[in-house]
Parts: sequence; C-alpha cells; structure tokens
Amino acid sequence: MPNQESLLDLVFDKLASDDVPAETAGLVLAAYAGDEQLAAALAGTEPELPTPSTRGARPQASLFLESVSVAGFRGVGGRASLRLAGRPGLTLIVGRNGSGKSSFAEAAELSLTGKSDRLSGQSISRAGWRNLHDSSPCQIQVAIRAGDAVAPIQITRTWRDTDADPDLGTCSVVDGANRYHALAELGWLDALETYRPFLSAHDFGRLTSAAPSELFDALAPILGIEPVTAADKRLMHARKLIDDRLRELKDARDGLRVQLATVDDDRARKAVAILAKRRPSLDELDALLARTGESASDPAAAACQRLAAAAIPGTAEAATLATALDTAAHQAAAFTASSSQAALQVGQMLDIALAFHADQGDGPCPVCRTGELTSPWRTQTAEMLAGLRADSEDAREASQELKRALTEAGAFLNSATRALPGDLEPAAAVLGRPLADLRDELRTWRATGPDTTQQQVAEQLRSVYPRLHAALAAAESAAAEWLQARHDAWREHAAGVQHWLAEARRASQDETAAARIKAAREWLRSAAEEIRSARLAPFAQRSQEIWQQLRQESNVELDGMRLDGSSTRRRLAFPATVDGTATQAMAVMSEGELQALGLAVFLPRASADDSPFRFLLIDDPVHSMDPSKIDGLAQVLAGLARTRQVIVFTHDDRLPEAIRRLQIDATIWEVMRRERSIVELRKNLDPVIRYLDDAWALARTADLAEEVRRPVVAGFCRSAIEAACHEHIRRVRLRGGESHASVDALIDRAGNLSQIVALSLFGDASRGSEVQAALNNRFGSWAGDVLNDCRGNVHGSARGSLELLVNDTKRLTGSLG
Amino acid sequence: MNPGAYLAAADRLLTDVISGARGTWPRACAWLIRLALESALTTFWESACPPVAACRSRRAQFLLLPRYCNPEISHRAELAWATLSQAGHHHAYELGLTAAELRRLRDEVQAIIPSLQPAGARQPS
Repeated sequence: MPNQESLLDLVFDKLASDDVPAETAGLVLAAYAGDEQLAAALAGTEPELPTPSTRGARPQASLFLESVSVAGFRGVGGRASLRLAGRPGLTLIVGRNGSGKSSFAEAAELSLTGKSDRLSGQSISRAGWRNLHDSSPCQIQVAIRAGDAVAPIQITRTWRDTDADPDLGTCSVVDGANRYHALAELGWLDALETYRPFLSAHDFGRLTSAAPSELFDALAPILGIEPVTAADKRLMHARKLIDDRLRELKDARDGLRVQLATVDDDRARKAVAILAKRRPSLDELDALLARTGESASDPAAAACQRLAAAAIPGTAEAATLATALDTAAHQAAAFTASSSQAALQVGQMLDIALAFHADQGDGPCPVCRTGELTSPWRTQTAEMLAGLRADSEDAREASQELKRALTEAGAFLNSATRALPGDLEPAAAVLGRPLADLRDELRTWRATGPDTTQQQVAEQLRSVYPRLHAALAAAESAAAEWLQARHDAWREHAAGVQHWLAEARRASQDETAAARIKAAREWLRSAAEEIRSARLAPFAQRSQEIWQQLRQESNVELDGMRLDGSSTRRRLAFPATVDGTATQAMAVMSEGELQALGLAVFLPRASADDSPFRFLLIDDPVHSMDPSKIDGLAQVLAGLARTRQVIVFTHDDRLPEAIRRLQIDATIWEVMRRERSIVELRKNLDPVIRYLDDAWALARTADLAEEVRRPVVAGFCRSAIEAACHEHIRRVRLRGGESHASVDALIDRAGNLSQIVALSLFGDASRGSEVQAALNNRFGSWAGDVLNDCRGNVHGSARGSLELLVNDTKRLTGSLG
Repeated sequence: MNPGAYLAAADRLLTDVISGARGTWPRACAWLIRLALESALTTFWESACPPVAACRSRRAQFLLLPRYCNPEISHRAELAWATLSQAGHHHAYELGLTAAELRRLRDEVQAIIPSLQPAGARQPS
C-alpha cells in the first residue's frame, strides 16, 4: 500500500550497496517483476526487468466521514442519522447497551466494506441484521468527503424485503457526476483491507483468538512490502518445482537400481554401481550405454555364444554314411577268406596248369597222375579260370569299397568332433540341464577310440551321433534363449537408464538454477527482514507509546512488537516483561489489558500516514477495560484526534467523564432508543454547554470573593462564545462547499474574540471593530456588554452579578449559533 | 493532617489486613487518598489565593485551579479527585476500585501534590 515505487527503489539501492552478484541481483529483480520474468531469467534469457522509478508517490485523498444514516437496520427502526464534522477531532457516541449506537458503527463498516465482521459467520447476528420493528426498506447511507471535494461521496446500500442476507442488496455510489454500482469503483477496497479504519471488540478479540499468522497478515500489509514477499514466494515456487524434479530424478534412480539389481547382466551390475554413488558419473553411464554389443568379459555369455555358434553336420549325412558302411561291409563279407583264398590258389594252380599244357601239350596230369590234360580240359579250365578271376576281382573291389566307406565315416566323425564347441563349463550355471546332458553325450562320444571296428563306427554314426546332435541342439537353443533373455533384459533397462541419463543431464542445469535461487532468496529474505523492521519501527514505536498511556498500573512492560518469521512460521510477537521477567505479552494479560493491547496494536494501523482514511471508528474500546485505563485512553484518543477524525462508540459514561475532566475537546452524541426502535441522537457535552456549565457553577459559588471568581467565569463565558462562533462559522462555510482545512485555517487566523465574532457575523475577521456596534444593533445593548465583560474587562463592569453574565452569555451563544 | 500522613494511612490499607476493615477498605482507601489531595489543594490555595482556600466548594476550587496552576496538572488533579469522590461514595450495583486502581490513583495523587505550586513559583521536582 505505501508507495511501492519507493520500495523498488529501496530494493535497487540495497542490491547495489550489498554488492550482490549480477546474476543473483537479476534473479531478484526478475522475481520482483513477475512469474514470466522469473521463468525467463531461470531459462537464461533476458527478462524485462523493472527499472527504478522517477515517479513520486501518488498523493492520497484524505477521506472524512460526514454522515451515517440508517433505516431498518439492526437496532435502528425509522431513519436515524449521525451527522459528523468531517475533520480531525474526537466524536463520542454514547448510549446504553441496546440503544442502537453500535448499529451505526456496523452500518458504516458494512456500507464501506460490503461486509461486517460482526455480521459475518454468526448465524444469530446474521438473522438479526434487519430491524424487526420497522417495515421501511432497509437502507444505509454514508457520506464521505475526499479532501477538498465540493460534494461528499454518497454510498447507499439498499436491501429489498426479500433479501435475507446482508451480503445481498444493492449498492450505489454517487461521486460528483460519477455514478457506480460497486464500491470497488472507488478503489478503496485494498486500503480498507490494509488499514481497516474500523475497530471493534471483534478486532480486540482477535489478539487472543486468531492464529499468530493471522495477526501477522493483519499487520504486514501496512508495511507495504508485499511485492518483496511476493518475489520471495515466486522464487520459493520456482525452487519447489526444481526440487520436485530433482526428487523425481532421485526416485527414478532408486527405482532403476532396484530393477537393475534383478537383471543378471554385467552391464546392469555396472550401472547399479554407478547409480549407487551419491553423484553418479553421467559420462560413465553414457559409456556403458554406448556398448550396446555383447560383452566378451562375461565367460558364461561367451560360452553360450560359442555353443550357440556351434554347427555340426546333420544326422542325415551320418545315417547315409552308416548305411554305406554297412553295405560295403556286407559286400566284403560275401567274399570271405574261406572261399576267396582257395579260389585264388586254384586259379594260380590252373593258370600254371594251362601254361604247362600249352608247353607240353596233351598228357597226363602231373598233379593227380590219373587225369589227362586235353584240349577240352583246356577249354573247360580256361572258362573256369576266367570265372575265378572275376570272382577275385569282385572281392578285391568289395574290400576296397569297405575301406573307403570307413575312411569317409572317419573323416565325418573327425569333422564332427572338430565342430563341437569347447570350454562350455562357464555356461553350466546358466544353462543347467541341457548342458549337463550335452556333456554326458560328449563324454560318450569321446570315449570311442581311434582304432575301431567298422561296426563300432557304424554304431557311432547311427546312434551316438544323433544323440550328441540332439543334446547339442537342445543346449544350443537353451544358450540362445538365455542370451536372448539377457539381451532383452538389459535392452529394456538400458532404455530406462538412457531416459534417466537424459533427465539427469537436464537436472544438472536445475541444480545451478537451484543454487542461484537459493542465493537470491537468502538475500531477499534478509533484505525483506531489514525493510520490514525499518518500516515496522514507527508503528511499533507508536504501539509502544499507546501502550505506555494505556497500561497504567499494569506490571506488563511491553518491549515493542515484531513480525517474526515468514511463510508458515510467520507471527506477530509481543516480547514483554512482567515485573522484569521476560514472557510473551498475551499469556499474562487480563482481558482489559488485552483490549488495551489491541488498541495499541490496531490504532497505529488504522491511523497510518499512508492510509487514505482520515476517519476511524472505534466500537466500545472500554468494554472490559479497567476504569483506571480510561483516562489514558482518553489521552490517546485526544492525541489521535489532532490529525484524525476519531469516532468512538461507548456504552458507559466513563470515557465521556474522563474526556470532560481532562478538558479534551470532543463532540459527544447521546443515542437513545425508544419503543419500537425509534433512535434519537442528542448532542451532549456541546463545548458551549460545557463552558457555560462550568461558568455557572463558579458564578454560584457565593462563599468565594467575586473578584477571585470573575476572571475565571469571564474566561469560561468567552470560551463559550468562541465555541458558538466556531460552530456557526464551520456550519455556514462547510455548507457553502469550503473544505475543513481551509475553514480551520481561517478560524486559526482569527486571533481575538472580536475577530472570531466578526468572522461569524460578517464572514470577515478583519471587521472586529464593528462587532460591538453590530451586536448592540442586532440583539440589544446587553449583547455588546457581554462581549465586553468577557474580554476580561474586570474594571468598571457595569453589570453586577456573575450569574447575569453567564445567563446573558447563554443568550448570546444561542443568538450567534 | 498533611497529605503524606493520609497517603501513609492509605498505604497501610493497601498492604496490610486491618481488622474490621474487611470489605470496606477500598472505599476507605479512596477517601484517604482523596483527603491527601484535598489537603494539598488547601495548602496550595492558602498560599496562592487565601479566599479560595476558604471556599467550601471543591468544584469551584478545581475550576479556578487552571488559572493559578499548570493547566495540565489541574486537569489531572480534577480527574483524580472526581474518580476518588465517585469511589468514596456508595453506589448501588457499582463495584469498588481494585487494589491496582487504588494504587495507581495513590501514585497519581502523590505525583500531583508536589506539582501543585502557584504558576511561576513551581519548585523543581
């Protein structure tokens, strides 16, 4: 509220004098400027920053209350008006409880703020806000004059009979030629909230009933450092977003660690190790992710890979070879040694016999010596020999065939053995059964020695090899499956790690931003604290002064007031000492003392220099106050009334009594309520009456010499005339549109009695010399004599009794007023 | 009796339990404090303006006071006197002053008494 341009200037000055790094200062100013600017500054772009202003503070209108008219509201039935002098001064509205005086206070508050603290939230009061006795429309009218304005601003609130709630109803505002339908148009709402020129028992009660943070909020706005706290809030919010992101990142990291721990993979284990560090090395993680191929460092994986890569000849080929071997063996078997050896020898022998016959010709057989070697024998034998030779050739071929088949089978078996994968042991753990089976088969396979029979080889090919083949295939597929699974698991998690890595890279920017925000907030907090204390100091001082005047015999020593903490820990604190022992003020105070404290706390706010409201309504400040505090209160109010229009509603006579006794200038209205809520206001303790009253009392004190009494009685009479003239001058001139300030200045300039009467009579203070004659002419010679006597003309006074002087003064004031 | 004696008597009522004064001591105390003030006032008028000292109306004496004495002191004295007079009389349904209030009034009267000096002839306090 207090001019905010100067606040920004203050921030600039402090940033400069504290030598804040440009980066931090930029962030502070961006946060001061708004959400967008802060976002821009955090994103690293140049935000549009505020610049120190050269503009002066906007002049505030001075608002005074001129009247409150009420009809059909609360305790007031038919229309009743409270007319007020719209200038600094003290006005007391006195009435017994139930006289309807508070209705005026509530009406003024309701019409200006649109709500009344007393009416809101309490169903009982809410139900009774409308007067029961009057059927006339419920209406409140308030006239407020702004400074030197020609006409007051009229604010009217009207409720129809059907409006059940005080919040309903229509509002009309007439401000010169302008007409509005909402109070907001006048632009007072913020100031009303900040300075609340209404004090009621409700406010005093807040000291005890409200949370400390509410009291903080009630007072903080008067200091006008809202933009600074708003800047801090913005920074806090930005920081929170970053913190949330960082926390999310950490949560994601923890999640990844848990997931990766279940993955049986070397890289997963590496990733877990990296992520387990307080500040994981993002580059290491990057490198890990870059190795998307398989790792050779894992022996199990290597073994599996070897297994998966193994390719041995098919079983069909083995079967073919086995069949060929069998066939060859069968063929060879047909030429067994028994027949073929004899046939060979017979052949050789017959061959020699044929050669012998060819040489010797026909003759007896040299072998059997009985037979004859003849030509037919020769023919027969030659044929037989050819047959024998063919048989022997077949046998040789069969034998060679078998040898070749064996060689082929051997080569096959060798190649198969060579193709078998070696060193499968590391995969044993991951493959289990299939590998165990494979190893059994391999053992069987290798048990077969090199010099084996054709049958063994065939057996090897026909049954052992297929079993080995099948076992190998099973192991192979198991290995492939495991590799696949392992691959997928990592791939899946690698994607998660990759995502986290990207986030983490982004977050590293967040971390620098968080550090900048921290620096900015630290500075801003201390700056706000400093500005706040500086701005609070005059208020705290004022509170202290008021408390000093109100505390009277209280042994509670108040040690200023403080606005402590911020955000959720903010509170209004009253450090105090009771008989020298430190304590919190509120804990040790009686209700009356709390009421006094409430005044001490809220009066400075309501009368702040920056408030446009020069009026102040106080409802029943003496409610539960000790009688002895009341004269202190009267003095506080009198002090306040020098610059403020103070309107006090009170239900008992103690405050007016103190004011009378202390000769404090005040206008006192008495509110009386008749049957059926007819409320009447009567001016009480008119200063004229008060002076005349005192003069009369002294004039009647017969046992005191007259020369002692006369100057004092004359003084009272003179004051009475002056008061009557002041009232007349004000009434006439204010009605004519002059401002209170100018009328007051005019009255101040009129120094002596004649000038004041001249101002009243002729509207011209300089015509003082004509007053005497004018009075004689207008009212008779007695009037001139009164004036003469009052001027302290003790000597040679024609008139005798003091009582006559007082009576004549009374007559004159009646004529002048 | 001089003002000091009255105040001492009032003090005794404030601090000690006087037998027979149960329940009535606040009123008695108010009377004593008021007597101290009035006695000082009489002394003042005797030196400032003897005819006033002879006047029976205390109100008149207080009305004249601002003319002869510091006006602020005069008003304070009058308020204290009025408060004490009110308390010293019996008023149905009105509660008497508390010990704390009486003590404050007593202190106020004690503070006023030395200041009750003719204008221009005030002794340094």
